[in-house]
Amino acid sequence: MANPLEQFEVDRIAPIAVGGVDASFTNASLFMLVALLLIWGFFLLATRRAAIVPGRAQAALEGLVGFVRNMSDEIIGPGGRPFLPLVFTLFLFILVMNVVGLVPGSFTPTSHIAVTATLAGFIFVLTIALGLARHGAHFLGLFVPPNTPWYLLILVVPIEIISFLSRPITHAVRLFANMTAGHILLKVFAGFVVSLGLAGGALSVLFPVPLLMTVAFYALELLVAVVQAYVFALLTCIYLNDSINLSH
Amino acid sequence: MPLTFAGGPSTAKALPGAQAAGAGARRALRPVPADGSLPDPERQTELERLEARLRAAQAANQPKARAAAASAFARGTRYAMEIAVATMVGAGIGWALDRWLGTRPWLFLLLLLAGVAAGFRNLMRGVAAEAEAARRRAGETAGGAADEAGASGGTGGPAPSGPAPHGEVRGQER
Repeated sequence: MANPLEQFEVDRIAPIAVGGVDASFTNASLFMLVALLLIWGFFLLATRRAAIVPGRAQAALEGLVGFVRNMSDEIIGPGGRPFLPLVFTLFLFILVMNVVGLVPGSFTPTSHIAVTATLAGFIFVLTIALGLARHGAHFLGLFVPPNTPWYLLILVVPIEIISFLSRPITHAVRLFANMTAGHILLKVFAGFVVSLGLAGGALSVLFPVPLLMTVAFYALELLVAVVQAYVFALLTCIYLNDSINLSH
Repeated sequence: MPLTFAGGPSTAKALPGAQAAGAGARRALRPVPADGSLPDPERQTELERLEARLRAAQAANQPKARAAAASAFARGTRYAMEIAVATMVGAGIGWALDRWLGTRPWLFLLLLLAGVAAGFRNLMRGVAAEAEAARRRAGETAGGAADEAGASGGTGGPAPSGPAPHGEVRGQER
């Protein structure tokens, strides 16, 4: 049976070194580029004949934008509008990477923690910088819940700090773990089809069972791909909200 | 509210002029396109027809159960890791501080517990937020149903006015 982890290997397509740092063009870069081109093509198609009564592509794009805009408005409120392009970009980029990764033989950049941690780390730094820029030292009030007696603060503040520091980790690991686990599962079940088929005798008759499982898991993975992109954008909104509105 | 004069269906029939004025006001209430031009009347009716069709289509295939399951799935995975990660972060900080201050193993143990507490705190905060959102959604559905009844009351009146920007947004979402 094929190694289920093989699909996560990063290959250098064009080795490039910049000042001793390995900056090669890899299959991860390739599939990020594919995602980018797909998004670009979709936008081109959707905005080519912009009309008040939208065509199919335009309606699809408007639906996507409206979905993310409603989410941002509901969580952050009007102050979130300047960050809508960022949230929308993250959502669409992750969504397309996740879905493209489900095409057999392709590569899923979001199944690498290096990719998801970079995105989550960027959001983490942005929320801190934004909070400090907008509220100055008041931003540290995030660690002091309102109406807490002083003797409890000794206990509560470290807890709040730990909870704050765990944000980028859950943000990054959630997406990475979901994508990786799903792809391993798919590969394992697909592998069973071949192994059972080759086993010969009575076992060979059983090969449709894992095949059906694979199909069912594919549907589930499609849902996971969309949901995880949504969750990533949702958490981005929630974290931005803390920096913009300084709420608990 | 500019449209208070557009009363019930009979009034509207009796006063076509008033209805036309109402339609004009309604048009004025619509968001202006980016280029600043208002759509001409022909396009306006076309738009309204499209809107009606969209609403009918949305009402016809609202995948209630499936949508609810998908959104519950999204919410569930959000909280699945809170406790584990917060515990690890607390333990990690404690371990690093112990190495730095030479207080092994006390800070590690202390911050491990603080990490568990932080994880539960995140979880509880999330649950509270979910409860709040569920309450808001429930209120919204009731409000939306009332709005629908009002709109079909015959005036073909304006969209229910949300008082705050938040209200307006939620109206769009439904």
